[in-house]
Amino acid sequence: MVRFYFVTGSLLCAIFVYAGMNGYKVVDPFAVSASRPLGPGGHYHK
Amino acid sequence: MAGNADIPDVPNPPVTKPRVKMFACPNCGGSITLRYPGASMSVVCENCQSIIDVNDENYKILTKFFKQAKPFTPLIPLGQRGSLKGKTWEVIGFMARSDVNSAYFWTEYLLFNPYYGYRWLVEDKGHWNFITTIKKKPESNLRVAGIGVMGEVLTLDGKRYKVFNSGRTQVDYVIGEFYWRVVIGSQTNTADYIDPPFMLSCEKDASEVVWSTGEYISHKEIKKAFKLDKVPDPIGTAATEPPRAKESWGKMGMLWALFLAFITCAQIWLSGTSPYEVACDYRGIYLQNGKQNDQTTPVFTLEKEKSNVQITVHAPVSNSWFYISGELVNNTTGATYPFERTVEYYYGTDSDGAWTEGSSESALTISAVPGGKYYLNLDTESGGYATKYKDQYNLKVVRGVPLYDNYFWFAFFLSILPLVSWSTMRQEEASRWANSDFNPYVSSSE
Repeated sequence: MVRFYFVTGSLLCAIFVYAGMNGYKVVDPFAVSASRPLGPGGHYHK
Repeated sequence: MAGNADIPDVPNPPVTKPRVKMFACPNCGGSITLRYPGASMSVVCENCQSIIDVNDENYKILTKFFKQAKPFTPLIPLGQRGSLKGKTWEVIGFMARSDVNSAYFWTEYLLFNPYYGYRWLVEDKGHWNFITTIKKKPESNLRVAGIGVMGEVLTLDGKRYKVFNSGRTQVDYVIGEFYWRVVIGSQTNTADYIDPPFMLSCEKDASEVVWSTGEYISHKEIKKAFKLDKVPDPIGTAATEPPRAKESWGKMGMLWALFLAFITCAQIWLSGTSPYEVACDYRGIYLQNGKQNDQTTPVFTLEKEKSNVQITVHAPVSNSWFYISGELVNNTTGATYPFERTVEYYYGTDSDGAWTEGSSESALTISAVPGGKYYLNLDTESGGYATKYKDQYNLKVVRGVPLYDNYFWFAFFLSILPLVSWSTMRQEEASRWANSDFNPYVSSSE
């Protein structure tokens, strides 16, 4: 498991630097959703 | 378990055939074979289980039995030879012992090699330990008279042994021959200390204190060494079982720290070197409570070969909403990046007092946009306004903003395996210490 983690961890670090240098958002679950007006709902009090 | 001291290592000599001595049992008359006369002091009659002093010329009976009772059968037959730790050993004695208070049983095999002396194989729930008695006395971190005290840690030859068990044990059953006058029911105070896969044991009675070291041996190694057909599979986690999960976690934890340090440094560097250039600052007109389609921004340039683009929308909303949908279009290739965003802001009062919700500004990031000339096609829509005038909104395009989401996601991904490893290690150690009198995984209040 240690060897597997060393390989995958190194790969993740490399992907992280590559993504950062090229402006990739690697995981972006919220950007894919539509942005439509919702109106007042879950408001909070001052 | 008493024993003899270590004998210096010499090349493994051939084990010669022992000078066997035979005599009749003074109790039942059965034939007794003494494998190592001169070395052994007591022998057990295989017929009636009486224990006989072989140093006495009349073969005095130490413990007398009138009926044959064999509650234990040795897994390794007496007389069987096997190679362990590079040396050949013969099984000459077998005993079952138990904890006086809990009736917890285990078995011990006495091994003999005429050149190296005695060793023990201790079997407990299918787990085996190879035991050697020592002359050295370990150093304790506590200054106490007894053995096996809570929090006690012993140091010997650079190893630190934590106290695992202590109690009073007794001999319940013996067969074979022994180097002392073994007595059924004889009791000693014992304490075990562990630094897996090694252990340190102490046995103390009125006349002596005997220390011994032990090392875990797999049941497969025992089976192979003594050429046994079958050896029971181990049950549970033994006190000295090699701490594989702990070793794995040690390495994994170090890698985890290295990876997290690396991406933290990389994130600081990436954030510091992000260009954050405003490529377009556009003011558009929209119709309150209506739609305004087909607006196009002037062409602007996105520098750098590839980077992200942040689009921020600001609109004067007040208990109203503004929606914009559009596409970032490459003026040369025609490639498009569609997006939509809503800006809404509400306020009011209710029984709990004043409240607000939303904001007049919203931003989105489009990832990995190649450099070049671009423009925006925009459609707008709004609602909730009390009036129906035209109003202005602001749209800003920024090239190369620092991304923090990636950092947290990658930190999460890099943490999954180490957390699994840590959890496995905790389970292994909790299982190991479950049989201990000094279990650190159980609070004193339980």
